Amino acid sequence: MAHPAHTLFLPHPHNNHRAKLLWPRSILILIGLFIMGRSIVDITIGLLPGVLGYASQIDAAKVIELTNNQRLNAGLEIVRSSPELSQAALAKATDMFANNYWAHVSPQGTEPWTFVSNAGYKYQHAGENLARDFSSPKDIVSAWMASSTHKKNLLDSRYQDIGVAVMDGYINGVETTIVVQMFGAPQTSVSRIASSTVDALPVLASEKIIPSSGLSPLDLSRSWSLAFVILILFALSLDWIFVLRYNLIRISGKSWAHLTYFAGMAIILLIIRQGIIL
Amino acid sequence: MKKPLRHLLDYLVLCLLVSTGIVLILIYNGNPIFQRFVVLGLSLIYIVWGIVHHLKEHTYHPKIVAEYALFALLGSIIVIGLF
Repeated sequence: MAHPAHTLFLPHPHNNHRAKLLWPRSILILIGLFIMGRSIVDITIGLLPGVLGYASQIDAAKVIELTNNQRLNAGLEIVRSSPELSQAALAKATDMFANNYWAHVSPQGTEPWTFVSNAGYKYQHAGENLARDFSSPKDIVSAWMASSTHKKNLLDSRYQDIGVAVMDGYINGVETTIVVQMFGAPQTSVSRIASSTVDALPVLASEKIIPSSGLSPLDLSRSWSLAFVILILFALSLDWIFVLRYNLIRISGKSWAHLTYFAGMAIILLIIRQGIIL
Repeated sequence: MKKPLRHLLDYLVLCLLVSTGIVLILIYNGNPIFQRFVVLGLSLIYIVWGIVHHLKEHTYHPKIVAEYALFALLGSIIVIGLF
């Protein structure tokens, strides 16, 4: 009688020459277990807000500097830090935390331009980029540049002013850092000469930075996902070795193909960065 | 075409598809909606690749298609759960 661990991981006459872990019903069980584990994480976040989170200290001035570097590279004039737009960005970030949403338009229907007008900035053109959960200003600007709509805002020649706010807080019980970037062109536009120096006056939304718990939801989810992928890769590798060694013939998919697919998924899991843009 | 050579060609195609998916994920880091589509697309293509490969090998069987579909479903759920 084969040991249960052998039949679970190794091809054997007792498991019809296919590791039990790779049987269709086992895959279904694995799918169920994975969803159950993820649900526990989500429920924990809902019941114990603040247990998981990701807060970082993003330098708003650096976001402005990197934005202007991109504009200079594209042959555009730099945008100057505007106290009104910074105020508008701060108001937008505060509103998102207060009303627990992550969107350009609030659940009450408040558009970004409302915050711009309320801050006293009379605009002819205005734009907004959002980012959350990033660890560095460089990653934020890179992500915006990789998205056509955000890049369009960043490299819009009509904009003359910029305001950036960075704020820590909780959305849906998860600690997070939000970055709001507002662009604007005033109604009475005065032509300016491009300057290589950035006159940045960033607004840091809170003087007291909420310390990060250090346990990011992404890291926890990533570990959970990786555990499953490693388990499958291990079982498939053993299966492949046994098929090659004993020249087993059976009606099944190709283990090396499954291995390639799951190796790809493992790489994707490792390269996914923290951070979302909107 | 000889069988080992045909195997190698199919394997190279699969590697190319998976690599393309990885590169797209890397380029669109920070854009989870697009990344979700990339993972779903890659998983669907993987099922199609499995069907085509086994048809060419004359080893096609619905059980095999179900196996590819289940592995693709598990892979997609594991990765998409992260976005």
